[in-house]
Amino acid sequence: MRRFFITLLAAFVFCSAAEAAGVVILKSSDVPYYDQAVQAFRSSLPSGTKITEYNLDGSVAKGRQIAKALRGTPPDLVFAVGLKAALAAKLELVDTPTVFCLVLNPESHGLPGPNMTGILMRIAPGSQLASIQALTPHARRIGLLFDEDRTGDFVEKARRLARRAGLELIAVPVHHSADVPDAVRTLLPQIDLLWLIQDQTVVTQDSLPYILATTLESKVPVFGFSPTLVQQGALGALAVNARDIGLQAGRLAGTVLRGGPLPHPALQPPHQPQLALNLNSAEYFGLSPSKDVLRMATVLYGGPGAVARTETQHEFLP
Amino acid sequence: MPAPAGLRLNLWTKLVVFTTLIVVVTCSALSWFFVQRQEATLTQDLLDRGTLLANHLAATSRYSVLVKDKTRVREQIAGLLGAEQIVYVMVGSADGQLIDAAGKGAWKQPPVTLFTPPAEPASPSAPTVRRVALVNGRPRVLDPAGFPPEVSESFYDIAVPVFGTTAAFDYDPALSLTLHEPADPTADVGATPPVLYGMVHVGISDHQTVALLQTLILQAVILTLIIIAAGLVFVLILAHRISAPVKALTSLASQVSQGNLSVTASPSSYDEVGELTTVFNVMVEALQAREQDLHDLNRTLESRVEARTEELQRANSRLQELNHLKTALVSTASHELRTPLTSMKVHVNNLLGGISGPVSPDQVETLRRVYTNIERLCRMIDDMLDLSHLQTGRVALEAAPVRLDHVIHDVLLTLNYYVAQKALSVRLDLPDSLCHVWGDEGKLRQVFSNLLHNAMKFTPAGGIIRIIADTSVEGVVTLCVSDDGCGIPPDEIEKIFLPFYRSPNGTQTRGSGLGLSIVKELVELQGGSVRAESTVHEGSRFFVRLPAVPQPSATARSDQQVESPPRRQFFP
Repeated sequence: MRRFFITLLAAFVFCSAAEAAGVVILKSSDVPYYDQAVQAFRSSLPSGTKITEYNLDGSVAKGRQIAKALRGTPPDLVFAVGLKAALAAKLELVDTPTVFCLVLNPESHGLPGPNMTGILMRIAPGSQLASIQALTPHARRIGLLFDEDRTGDFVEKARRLARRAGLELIAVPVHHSADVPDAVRTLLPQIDLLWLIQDQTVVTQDSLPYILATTLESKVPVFGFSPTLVQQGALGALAVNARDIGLQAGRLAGTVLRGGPLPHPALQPPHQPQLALNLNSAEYFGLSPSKDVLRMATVLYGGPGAVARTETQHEFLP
Repeated sequence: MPAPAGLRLNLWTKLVVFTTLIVVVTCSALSWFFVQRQEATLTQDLLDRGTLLANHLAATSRYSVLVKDKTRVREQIAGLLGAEQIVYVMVGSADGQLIDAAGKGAWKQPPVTLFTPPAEPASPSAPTVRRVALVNGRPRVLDPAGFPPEVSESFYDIAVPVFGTTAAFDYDPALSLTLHEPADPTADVGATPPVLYGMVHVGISDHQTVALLQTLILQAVILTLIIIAAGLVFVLILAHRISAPVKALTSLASQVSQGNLSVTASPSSYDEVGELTTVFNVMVEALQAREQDLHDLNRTLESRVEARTEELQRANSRLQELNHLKTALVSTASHELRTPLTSMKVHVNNLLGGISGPVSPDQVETLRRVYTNIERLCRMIDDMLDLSHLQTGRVALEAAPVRLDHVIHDVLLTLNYYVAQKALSVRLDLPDSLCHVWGDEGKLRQVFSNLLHNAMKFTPAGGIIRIIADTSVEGVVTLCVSDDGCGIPPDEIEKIFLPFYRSPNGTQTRGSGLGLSIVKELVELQGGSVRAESTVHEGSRFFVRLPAVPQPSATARSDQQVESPPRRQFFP
């Protein structure tokens, strides 16, 4: 009985604190996946939480003005969506706890700050290599194109993990987007699978169709980071979606609002990467994904019963 | 109104010629329009197809162009050349360098001279289309409107720019951020325009289009001819169906005009021509009925005229009989009245003369009035008797040369009482050489007595009466008696010579209305004529024309007295 009253009192205190808490959302621009993240974030907060949302309209300067205005009555927490919102919060709100998300390379922009925590867009190389192995158990030589300045650390870590997993990671550095074709042609004969990572030098609007077409012609499967690539012919991908990121950010914010400390490390990997798989490509490459892999796959393209989980696929495909 | 000989076309010819003309013109115009539209459509389809293929190559070779991947570009060009109408493909970079080119057929050597470096800014949706041809084995750009005679086949060079894409992956944050997250987020850049990578030239042949167009033209011509032929047959049938009944009706109408009313036309249709035929039959029936009526009328006309003539003759005889009876009655009554009146006149005269005893002055005055009225009654009875005798032809005329001036003077002497009573002025204009007239002196005296007495009655007091003789016309003497009386209205002038007629203007004067009738009868009895002229309020003029006695020569006149013609008695 005594424990029941203590629990009831604690719940009352928590609810009151949550109702009093104010959350400000800074959104970089009107992009659908930003809206998805914001919507998921809102849904994860306790009801009664006072939420104020600002749209930066793609301007860091506007974000800084908004953030500066918030200094007088700082909110309990700031949720920054996108790089520009995160930068504005970092520059103007040095004491307010801030959670950011949907930033591709936060480290290259000085993120996070001391009062900040964020969710990475990049999936850990170990998880990706595990997925590659599950998809193509016979593939030993994994090719990779990367820009040393952008993704050198990631590749180094991946190289170690691959070696540990008994795989050979053949990583070819490129310094310019124009180097990609020659690098691809050089690389393709040496590898069993091409692993596309989120390197902005390698992956461009124009190089993607080229890479996908060339690898298809060379019968070298591609493992990527986006369900769109899978839809266009890549074998598979381990990807994140904005809704999951928003939910994860909401949970993180709840912890902070409840008075918890900022998590360590400050940059959290996405908790729920999703496996996308193109069954037609698999058939083309002579692969037969196991039942376990098919069960793990969240998004399936092609084949009988092509769409495994339509509700999830719709989040990727407009 | 008859038409000129050159324009005289019958209905059949007009129908056939004009309807055929319309069919031919309409079909030809429609065919021409159809061919024109087809040519434009086929050409546009060809260009659309070429543009589509060029755009597709530009889209798929985007990265190959950017990195000048000649191998990949060659593969893509080879794929595009698989299309039948594509004759050459050229792909170049943004700096104007030709990456690769290939052709087939006559364009085995691609026209690299036609490759144009891309110009910034270029619109992604604006291909450049030029007509080109091989002239003496060398590529040449043609004028869009012209087609040189030495060119047998033309081609289209379609050039499209190769742009970088700006696709947004709104529901794939991993890919979208990888592609679009800027290195410097603080730089507020707007929408980035597409980057120009290079240029794709596609040569497409219009050979198939031309062949298809030729087939279409042939089909259109054949179809047009078939339609025209069918239309002509239809027009001939229609013209026959319209003109044949009209011709038949014309023939029947011609027979009717020649009097043959027994014709009947059979309606061949239920349209306007059929109605015309029915109306024609009704008209012929009406003409037949009218012809029958005329025939019947003509047949009975003679007998009816004879009956009417008999009726008129009977009425005329009856009228003549009545006239004789009237004349006899007037004659008898006048004669029977005259005898007692003469006796009364003698007795009154005796009383006035005191033979039967003395009478008082008042009685004298009364007797005078009685005597005057008896005289007046006697004169009227004399006039009636004279007129009766004249009308019945029982007047004996003793014709002889008569000097009219003597007659006039004698009459004036007898009427001097009236002249003096009304202070009239009588002016005579009788030439000395007034010739003799041939007539009865007594009757002429009565004629002029009546005329002058009439003039004096109607001339107001102090008026003038003129008597003028005119001998200007040979063989005729005309005497004019004019007065200043009240005149006779124009509509009355013809009636004054009728018996008992009295002009309304002369109702204040006494008279029987027989004087002028007697004058007319007497003058005409002597071979003359009398006529009157009058103006109301100015006076009247009576002209008496009498036959003159021929004048002897001057020598004969001096030697011998006027030789009187033998006295004759004639009864006109």
